[in-house]
Amino acid sequence: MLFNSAEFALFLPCVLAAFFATPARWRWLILLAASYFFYGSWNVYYLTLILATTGVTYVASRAIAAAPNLGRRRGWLIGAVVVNLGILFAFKYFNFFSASFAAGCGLFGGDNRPLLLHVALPVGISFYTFQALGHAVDVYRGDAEPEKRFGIFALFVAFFPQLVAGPIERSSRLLPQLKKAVTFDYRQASDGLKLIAWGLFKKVVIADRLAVYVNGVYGDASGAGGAQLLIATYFFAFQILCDFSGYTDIAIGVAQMFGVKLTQNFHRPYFAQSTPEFWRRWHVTLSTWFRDYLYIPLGGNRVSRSRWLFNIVIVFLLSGLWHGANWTFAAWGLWHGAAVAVSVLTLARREKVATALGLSRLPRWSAAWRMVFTFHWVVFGWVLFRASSIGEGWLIFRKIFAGEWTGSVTAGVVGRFDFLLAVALIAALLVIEAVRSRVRLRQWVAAQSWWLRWAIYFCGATAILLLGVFEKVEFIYFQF
Amino acid sequence: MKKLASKILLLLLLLAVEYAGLEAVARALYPEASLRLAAKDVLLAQRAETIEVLLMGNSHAARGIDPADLSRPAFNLAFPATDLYNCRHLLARVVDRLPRLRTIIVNLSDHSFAFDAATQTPALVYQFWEVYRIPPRSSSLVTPLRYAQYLSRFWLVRGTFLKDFIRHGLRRRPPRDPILAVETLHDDGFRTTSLSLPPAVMRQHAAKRVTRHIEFGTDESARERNRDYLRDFLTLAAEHRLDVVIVTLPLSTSYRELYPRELSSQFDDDLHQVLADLPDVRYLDFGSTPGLTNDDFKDADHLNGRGAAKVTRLLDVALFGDSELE
Repeated sequence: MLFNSAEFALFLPCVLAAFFATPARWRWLILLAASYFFYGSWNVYYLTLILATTGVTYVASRAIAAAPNLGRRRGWLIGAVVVNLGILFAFKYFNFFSASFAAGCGLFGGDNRPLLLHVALPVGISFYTFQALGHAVDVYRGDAEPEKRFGIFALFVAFFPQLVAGPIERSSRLLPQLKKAVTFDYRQASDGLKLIAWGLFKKVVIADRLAVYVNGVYGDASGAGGAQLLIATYFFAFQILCDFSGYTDIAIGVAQMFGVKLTQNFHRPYFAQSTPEFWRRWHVTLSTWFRDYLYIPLGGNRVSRSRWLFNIVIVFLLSGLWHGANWTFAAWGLWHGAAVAVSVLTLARREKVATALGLSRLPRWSAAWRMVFTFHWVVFGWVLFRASSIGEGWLIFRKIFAGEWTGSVTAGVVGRFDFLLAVALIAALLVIEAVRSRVRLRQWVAAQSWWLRWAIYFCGATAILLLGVFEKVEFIYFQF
Repeated sequence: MKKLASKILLLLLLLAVEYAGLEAVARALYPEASLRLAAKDVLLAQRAETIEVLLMGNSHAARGIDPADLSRPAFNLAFPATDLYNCRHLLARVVDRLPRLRTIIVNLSDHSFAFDAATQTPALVYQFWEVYRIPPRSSSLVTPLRYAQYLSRFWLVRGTFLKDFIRHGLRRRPPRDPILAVETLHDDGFRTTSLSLPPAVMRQHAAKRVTRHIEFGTDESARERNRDYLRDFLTLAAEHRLDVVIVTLPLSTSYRELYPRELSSQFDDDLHQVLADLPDVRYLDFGSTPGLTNDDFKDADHLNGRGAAKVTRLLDVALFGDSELE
């Protein structure tokens, strides 16, 4: 069941009505049932995986808290990590590593037939696995108490607004909210609805419209010209932003209607002035997850310089692979890892050069240049993310930079009107994002007179109706 | 909660009024689409007494075989996204209406045995229900909401509604697709255009179509069902003492280069499984007809009027060449 489907438009009010019609102490049960129904609508058999993750992590967390010594605690934690990552590995990575291993054997004359598991990738498995694992680690560290009630813990793992594409929540933040007795708050619910509408607009009007061009051009990268591939790459940068941040806005809005505040996952990432800053603005809950549960345990920056660089690169490599079982994602992770490593290595020298050139006296220009450079680094990184193979990624880079700029910009994939509309929508998005950095738009709207507010809502809904693409296009991050 | 619910209902009411307005404008702007199966059925009824050859199948046949180039009275009832399930039921619905019918020419495409129209194009499946009361193969995929969307003219033309409205105001205009706009539906059910695509656009279109056709999958149980539907179709035709000729039609070079060979081989296997027990059914493969160029194709996998004329003449010679001499 997709957020941008008629089924969800029916499902949400039904769950909301049932939730508030039920006595407060049983409401978690409504949310849990709704969450399992929501997930089961994709594949009912894969509910067993969520139940396995939930059961194993629940037992391990309780055992960690009750263990008499460090060895036992560590043993239970390792058990939880092995089982959870084992499930993730089997369903997401086994075929990839098996095929890669077989290909490697083939190079040396060995058997190149991979052993493959014929299983579909469970939707959102990386998200709920990481959320559950985070809880076990928090309990091990003493940062969180283990949840005593299995049902509440099951809801923490499966809470439907953020189940399939995050934000990846910490138990210390989400569990208390799930246990809290909630009363209906008009302002909060109304605010949540506006966020849902904005998320829906970004998804169906911008992301899915851009997807038509991007899919058309990337679908035949060998036949496309450099200009078309360059435009498709820019478009993809905004497609994935609107797709993922649109999903997150809807998730946050839906949760808000149930009285739960989820973590903001995006802070205008394309306005970042460096790659490290980009990662503090893009998919924040994943970045902080890797920081807290991998980077810092590896020693973070409190180690030798070479080890520090190794820590950065390995974290980004794994972060890339988290997104998908393909070498393209590993390359994408390394692309960003390399940028962050170079960024921290050269910081002092760059500041010296900037001072010597007098750029420090032009802070706005300097900031603009950094923003443009970072944006383009990120955009070209998306080539690796979107390409179906490393070879195709290389072909696209070659076509873009070797000047093979043939063919019309619309690529015969969309009409001129649709192309210009896509460009206009990107421009509108950038303006809105820039305004949002100064003004809290939802509060601004709420402060206006009723007729202006209603005019804005009506125009927004009309824009979705007239410009939206309603082809049930899945959110990109569902595959992770 | 009541306050919020009442405000949402009010907004929905306003949007419903707006939608009604857009629907009225769309109905004023766009004429009844001659793309509908209903339009073909009307033409079929007008010619029912004379038809000897009935052409059936999907869009490849709908645009690829011109009844006018056959030497017997023929009608093209092929329709986009007609899968083997609908093809079989369609024959059952029309066969008794055509007293002089002798021959059925049905086209199969490489993806025909993997294709279930209900999973891909429900809007088209509805037409089989609307015109011939053929129930959808998978009822769960055909919901009341989708059916309501299908009935709405605004929803059908929504993709280009705004563009057309900005460009042309309230003047009436032909259907949205620029190629469809210049296509003509002839009295014999043949829909044709003289347009073709530039090579670069043709390649893009081929990639899109091949990707779409690969997505139909290779599921053995789905193929088995489709093989059974084809067997039923052939049995039904035999019961009515009709000759059946199965044809495959040409595809552009761009399409053929991209289409996986293993899927083509799979199609051959499926077809041979069906035909192994039916030696009387003729199979004519025009897939690699020589002398066709890009100019003979409307797009990557559909012939245009010129290409259809060339292929239909070859088909006519193959089928009726001898009788012409007699």
